[in-house]
Amino acid sequence: MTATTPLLEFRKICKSFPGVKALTDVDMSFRKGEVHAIVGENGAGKSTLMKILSGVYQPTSGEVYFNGEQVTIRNPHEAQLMGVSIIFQEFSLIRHLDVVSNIFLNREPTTFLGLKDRSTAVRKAKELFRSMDVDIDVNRNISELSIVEQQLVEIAKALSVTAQVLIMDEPSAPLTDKELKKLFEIIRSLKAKGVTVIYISHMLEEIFEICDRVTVIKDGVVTHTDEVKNMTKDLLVKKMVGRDIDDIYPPLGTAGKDDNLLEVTGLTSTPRINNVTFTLRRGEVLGLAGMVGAGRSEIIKTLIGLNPKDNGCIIFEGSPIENRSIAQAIENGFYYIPSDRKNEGIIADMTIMENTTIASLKEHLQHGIINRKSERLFAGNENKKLRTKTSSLEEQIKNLSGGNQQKVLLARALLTRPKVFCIVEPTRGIDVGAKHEIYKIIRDLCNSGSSVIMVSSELPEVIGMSDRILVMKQGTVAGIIDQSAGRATEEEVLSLAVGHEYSLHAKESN
Amino acid sequence: MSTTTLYPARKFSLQKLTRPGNFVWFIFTLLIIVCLLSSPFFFTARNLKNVFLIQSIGLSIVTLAQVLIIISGNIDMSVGAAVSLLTTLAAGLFRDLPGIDPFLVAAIIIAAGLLIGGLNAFLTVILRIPSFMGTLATMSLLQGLIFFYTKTPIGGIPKSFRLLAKYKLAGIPVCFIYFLLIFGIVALLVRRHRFGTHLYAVGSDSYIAGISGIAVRRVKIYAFLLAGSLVSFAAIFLASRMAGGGPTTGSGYELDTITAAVIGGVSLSGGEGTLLGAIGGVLILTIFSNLMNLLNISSYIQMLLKGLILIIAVSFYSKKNNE
Repeated sequence: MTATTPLLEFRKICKSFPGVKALTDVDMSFRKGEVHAIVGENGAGKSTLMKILSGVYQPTSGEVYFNGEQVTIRNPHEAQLMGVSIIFQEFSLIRHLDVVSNIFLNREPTTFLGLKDRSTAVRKAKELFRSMDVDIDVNRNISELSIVEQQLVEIAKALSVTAQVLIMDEPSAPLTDKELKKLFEIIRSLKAKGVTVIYISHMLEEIFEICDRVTVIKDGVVTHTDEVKNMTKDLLVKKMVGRDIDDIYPPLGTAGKDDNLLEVTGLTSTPRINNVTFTLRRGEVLGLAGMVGAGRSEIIKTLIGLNPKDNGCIIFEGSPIENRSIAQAIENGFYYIPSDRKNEGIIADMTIMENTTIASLKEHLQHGIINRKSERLFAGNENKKLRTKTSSLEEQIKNLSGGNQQKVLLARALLTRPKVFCIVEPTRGIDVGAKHEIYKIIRDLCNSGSSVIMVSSELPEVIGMSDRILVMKQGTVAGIIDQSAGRATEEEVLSLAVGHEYSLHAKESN
Repeated sequence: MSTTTLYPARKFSLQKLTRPGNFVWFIFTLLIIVCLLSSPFFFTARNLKNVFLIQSIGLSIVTLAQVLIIISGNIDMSVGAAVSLLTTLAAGLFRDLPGIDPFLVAAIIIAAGLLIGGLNAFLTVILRIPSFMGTLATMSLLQGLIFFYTKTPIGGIPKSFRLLAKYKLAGIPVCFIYFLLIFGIVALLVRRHRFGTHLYAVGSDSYIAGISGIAVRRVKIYAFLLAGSLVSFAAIFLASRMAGGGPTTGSGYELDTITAAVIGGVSLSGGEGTLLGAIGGVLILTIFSNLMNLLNISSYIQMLLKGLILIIAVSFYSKKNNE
């Protein structure tokens, strides 16, 4: 191997899933002993690429070269044998097994006939944690550990392999500053030993601190590779997003000042929200901002009857109403799309058509029997309008990308013709292109006379989308910002959300 | 470099008593007390031998098989029919081939058990039929096969083969040693062998087990083969004890083994539970039915009560899991 031969190389890697092309002609190379960052928006294809390298997925086409030789990685076991180790973004620990068993899963030290050498495993695990400078009882079950501890076990598991390539997919997400420092020390010592580290992270500061080179992926295509020292943060963001931030959000609405659709007075649901009063104008987006736990989504949950309402009055189109269940809320013209799309939104094994019509199925009943023709017509029209990308309405929804799943959920909502439309984290885990379309759908809904209450943890999104912003703090309203005269700054919103002072770190931990 | 103590070590708590693996022994003790109080015949040597040796060994061994399958994330509905078939086969061999070596019969039974396990593995792992359906099909297949061969029980198993259930070594019944040996080997496999760790991993989350490099399907196949051979060991004991075999020898074992496993804290969703707990479950079931017999309660009512116990056990543990 000459000095110029990369340790690992991707050539023209493509990967398609039903209805989505996740990666297109990806070329990338990794040198021995470098820390190489891969950055990109959610859904850009970073994790897919790493799953190909670790044998979880097979590429649709393209080649992988390792030490100059072409290799086929048929399964995770082969990747391990090759010397590729990975810290997965989602946890890869078995909850019912203890720390030791998890770290050495499938690589258990044995004495004879495959009998486990428990004492050696325990000793090695303890050494591993000592070298990481953390203290974890190695005999505990994973289910008893905190998220931070689980992540540390995850890291220890990856380190327990003598790897040539170590992939870290968002390793820092659950870690505090203290553990992050330790992680960086570990990375530096790995690098000194000649291990290639592939580092995936959203936190650009981390990349500038620890990485040598950076590759940007956008919509499944490599758009840029360079030495980190030649890059700046702004440049990196521009390469990742590929468009100006102002082009992302549609123009704000022109709701009448006194045209109130909904008047909420003294809404209380102990212990989460207390005495919340606000109005919702016809045709506006009301954004709810605040720290996690400030009671933003609790307002919505109380409004639509998911949480008990202890006190307060909801006046809708001039008359008081009660929503005691979601069914009643939909009946009254409310609709709610929760943030956890996978578990609370989609019905994974059902088709796109069934997922679209399930909330409005009543309208397609003839003598109690579903009229498939009219169901198909409505589902088809609505999804066409929202430009859901799919090969067929019969496709299972779980095969769609996050953005397209969200469009199906929006189609489901729109078919109930909601007047008050509540949505939490509308674009979580969705790529930039689809984000833009979803913003447009929300704005179009408002322009047709409905009103939207939106919760988002991404401040730019709240500021970009909302006509007015209601800021929550510890379960009460801290203030309402009207954006008709001009958009607020992140600082204005934050200072309301945290009181008189705030730090950038508080924003990021949100 | 100093080691920071961020995370407190595990402490003992009262909650541990209500953990499935321990709770079963709590119930066991309670049941024994009830038995002692309600019937003077319970604590007689004859009855105790009946309960702990004769009644429970067969069911215990089959339960070990069931537990392995459940931990791997599947379920086996064919164990009852398999026991019936294998005992019938043993009796049939002795009837049709007088003078056959008992060890040869045992070897044939074990081979047949492995074959049944292999069939279940083929259906669920290779053809990917859900295990409930696949093993239900096996059950029907086996039961049909038995009736094709005989409609009535076959007796007349010779003394040499019956030594297993009758003989005592230095005052200890051989069948008890037989059970301990089997239990010891299976426990060694599950607790101390890497196979056991992989079994729990696969049952707990087969996707994660897969990305950790475990050959998921191979582990499931081994579990079925192991279960198949365990069922044959149970059949050998039962044929020896009853001096024969028939179409209904093992009927009800599928439900009894699952009930025992659940009472013993084995999670039906896989990856959780211990062998010892399940044996505790078997003992609770046998003592319970012994108590019912001593109190002259009809077998129909017993069946009804068994159903109730299953409901209570399952809802108790699923409630605990939700907490």
